[in-house]
Amino acid sequence: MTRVVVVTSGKGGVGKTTTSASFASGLAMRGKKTAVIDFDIGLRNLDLILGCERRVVYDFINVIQGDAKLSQALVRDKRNDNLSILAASQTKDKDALKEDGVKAVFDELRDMGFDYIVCDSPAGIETGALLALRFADEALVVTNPEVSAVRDADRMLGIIDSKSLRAEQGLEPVKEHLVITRYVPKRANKGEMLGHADVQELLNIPILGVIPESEVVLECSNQGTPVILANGSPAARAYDDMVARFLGEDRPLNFLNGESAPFWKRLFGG
Amino acid sequence: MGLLDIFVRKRASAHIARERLSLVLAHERAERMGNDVIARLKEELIAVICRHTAIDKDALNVTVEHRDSVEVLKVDLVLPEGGLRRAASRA
Repeated sequence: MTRVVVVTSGKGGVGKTTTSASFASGLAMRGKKTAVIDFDIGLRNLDLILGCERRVVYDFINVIQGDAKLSQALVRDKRNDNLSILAASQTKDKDALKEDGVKAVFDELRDMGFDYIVCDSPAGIETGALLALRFADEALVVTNPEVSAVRDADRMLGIIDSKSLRAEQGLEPVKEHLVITRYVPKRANKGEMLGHADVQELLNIPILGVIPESEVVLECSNQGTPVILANGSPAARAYDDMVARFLGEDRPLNFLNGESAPFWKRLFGG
Repeated sequence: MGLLDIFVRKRASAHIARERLSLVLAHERAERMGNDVIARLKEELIAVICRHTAIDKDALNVTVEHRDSVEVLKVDLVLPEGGLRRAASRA
C-alpha cells in the first residue's frame, strides 16, 4: 500500500527540500519504491538538490493539465532505480495546481506500485502547501531550534490537524514526526540554543531526527547530491538514522553531544 | 555576580526563547481550538433552528467578543422577510 508523506514547516529556509531529498533517497536505498514531488510551483528546486535538473523535460503541472504522461515526467534518479522525481513547474501559474489533479497523479502513482510518495511542500500556508499536506498519511515537520521556525511549525501542525483529508473525513489522524535541523549540540548544551528536548516538548510530537548543522549540506547542494550520501559525515548519518527510525528501527539519537571529528580527521579531511 | 556571569547569562538565552514560545504557543492553540468550537456550535445551532423555521445558513453569525474581562458569545440571526411566523410556515 502506498503511503503519502509530506515534508513541511511553514517557515522557509529550514531545510524542507534538503530533508525531502535525503528522506526520499534513504527510503529508496532501503528498497522502497519512492516518488518525490516538488510542490513549490514557480520556484522549482528539488531537481537541483537531487542533481537531475538537466534531465527534467516535463513537470507536475504538465501532467496535471494532460500535456504529458506521468511516466514521461517522472525522472529516474541516476544513483538509485527505486527513486523517481517529479519536478515543479518553473513557468506555470501556481493556480494550475488543483486538488483533483493532484489526486489523479497520486492515484496513478499508487497503480504504478510506489511504496512512498514524498511531497516537498513550499513554505507558507497557501495553496501549494495546503495541497502538499492534503492527502498525507504522515508528516515530517521540519524546524530549526529557533523561535520563529518553532512557532510556524506549531501553526503547521494545527493546519494538518484541520485541513488534511484525514482530519476532514474523521479518519485516523496524520502521523506527525518532528525533524530538527541545523542543530548545534555545543550551543544547545551551553543554553545558547533551544535544546531538542525543549523543541520536542513545545511542539509535543515525537522526534524522528535531529540533524546537526554541517558544512556538508552546502557542499552537497553545490554538487546536487543528497546529504544522506555524504559518507561518514554526522549530518548524513543523522539522516540515515532518521530514515531507519521512520521504517520502525530503534536507533538512539546520535550526534547530540557536540562530538567533533578526531584531530587527525579534521586535519586530513574525512 | 562577577563580570563573567553577566557575559555568560547574556549568551545563554535559550531559556528565554523557551518561555516566550510556550506562552505564545499556548495562546495561539487556545485561539485555534476556540475557532473550532465556534464552527461546530454554529453548525449545531443552524440544525436546531432549521427544525422550527427555515433560515439561510449565512443568516446566522456566531462570534466571541472580549469585553473588559469577560468573553461574550454573540449569536446573530437575521430572519427572512415576514419574520419568525412567516419563516415557521415555510419550514
